[in-house]
Amino acid sequence: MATNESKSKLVRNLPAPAEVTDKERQAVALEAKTWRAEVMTKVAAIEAVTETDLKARAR
Amino acid sequence: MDQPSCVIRAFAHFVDVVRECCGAGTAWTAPRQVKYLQSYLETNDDEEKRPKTLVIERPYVDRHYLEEYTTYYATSLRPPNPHASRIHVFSSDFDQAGWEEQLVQAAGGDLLTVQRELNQSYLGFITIRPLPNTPVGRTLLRTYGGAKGRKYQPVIQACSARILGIELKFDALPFVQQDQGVGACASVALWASLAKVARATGMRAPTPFAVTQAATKNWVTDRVVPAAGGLELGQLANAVREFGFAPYTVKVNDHPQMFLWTLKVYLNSGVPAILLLGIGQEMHAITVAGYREGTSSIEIGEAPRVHRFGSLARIYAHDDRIGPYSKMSLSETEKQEWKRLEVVRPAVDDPSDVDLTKDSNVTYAIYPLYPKLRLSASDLATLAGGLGPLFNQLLGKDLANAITTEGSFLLNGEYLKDLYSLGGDGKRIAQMVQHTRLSRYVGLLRWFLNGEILADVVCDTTDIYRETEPYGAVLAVLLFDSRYVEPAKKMAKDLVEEDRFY
Repeated sequence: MATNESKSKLVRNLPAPAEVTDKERQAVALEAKTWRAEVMTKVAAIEAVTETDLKARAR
Repeated sequence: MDQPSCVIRAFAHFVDVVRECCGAGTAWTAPRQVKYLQSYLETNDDEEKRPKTLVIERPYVDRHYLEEYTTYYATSLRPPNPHASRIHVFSSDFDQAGWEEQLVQAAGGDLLTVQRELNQSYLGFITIRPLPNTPVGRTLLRTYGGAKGRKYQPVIQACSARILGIELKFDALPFVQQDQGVGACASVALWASLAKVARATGMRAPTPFAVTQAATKNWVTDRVVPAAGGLELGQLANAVREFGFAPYTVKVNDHPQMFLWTLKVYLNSGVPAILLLGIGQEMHAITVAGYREGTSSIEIGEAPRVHRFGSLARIYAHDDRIGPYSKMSLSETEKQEWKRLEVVRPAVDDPSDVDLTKDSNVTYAIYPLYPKLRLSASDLATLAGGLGPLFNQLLGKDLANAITTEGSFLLNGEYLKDLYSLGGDGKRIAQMVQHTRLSRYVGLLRWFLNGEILADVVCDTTDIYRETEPYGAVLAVLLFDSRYVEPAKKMAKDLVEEDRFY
């Protein structure tokens, strides 16, 4: 049985959700594509480990 | 009659005890690591957990030291003793007679009571090698408690120690002081991390020498021993592979926020991070065992596409120059041409601590991953970006800035146990569990609104992120407010299949 403490971790008092329109759905899909592309650029930067990096020596 | 195998001393004599155990003379000056251990144990903010008594076990056969001995010291002209000593630390107060009474009680059939009582005050052990310059061998100490938002779980592991057959259990991450004869800072940093992940997958933890050997097996740049030359990043990756894990290597490269996201995800997943710090022209390796959650958020991206996650106010790292769980802070610094992640060791007990991290920056991180964990922390960030607009739109502009997202990888059973404990809508959760096939490890993106759990996005970890099917890894989206399920389905119609929403 869940304790009061664990129950309090869940979201409460959210406003009622608004009606979803087709325009909003399309905007979300488009925005998601742009956002993913932006994140992938950052991911590529941190994952770009080169041969020179592999020669970094810790003593 | 022989000297008893366990001798009791008061903690006040800690440094003297170490000196005697390592065979040093009276002119010996305790290395920084010994002073740190004394200070770490004495300054626990929980006064009841401060040390009072030492149980000294001599001789102690330590597998890790013995391997170093047989491969290096045994062939030197003046070899040290092959046996070590082990110092057990207790927060309860007892003397030799009190210890012997407990032993008699255990031997007389009341082992469980003695075990329970000793376990309550057990703080861990320190192996002392008979090497006066580098005496601190394999050391397993309890962490401080969870006060102040400290988080060591799930990085620290369940450990046990036996003193004359009395088994004591506690959680810790092993630490060892570097001995340049047989290992570099990189070897011991990797050793601490591998000790955790190996045990978590049912393997025996390797020794520091085995790590050095694995690192230099296929990539020869110097002598294996002595190992004073250190190890290259590529050699660390090689060693991770040799032990059956997949090395995931990332660098800060002007993106400290994304780097911190991967660090936090893997710490939350129980993978101790090995960080390579650039200090001037040199590099130094440390192992991160935990962190303290900050009150602010770290932001990746710019408005309106901002991924927020909780900051790391401190990290607790095993630094073989200092000791286990040493406090450090990571701060993102930015100038026009670069962005860095500076490491600062605050002055705690030794004012010269600050000099150890002067002008040092985190440069690389390497994580030993379970090989079938193919979805990476960075992939989770990409998925979080791909789902960000859905949650922002669902909650509206006014609440969007209060949304944060945390990521982790965990065994599906552990995830479900946690999920059941949250007290959500049992009917919908049961439906999700009945209709979702989970991979052994799941990727979890947990969305919060003002710190309260809004939704869980559960991901398959057995494949990489593919842009051709960006939401292919999403196994289930559980919204904790049932009123939002239908709107979410409609809003995400072009992204995630409807039947994944619960």
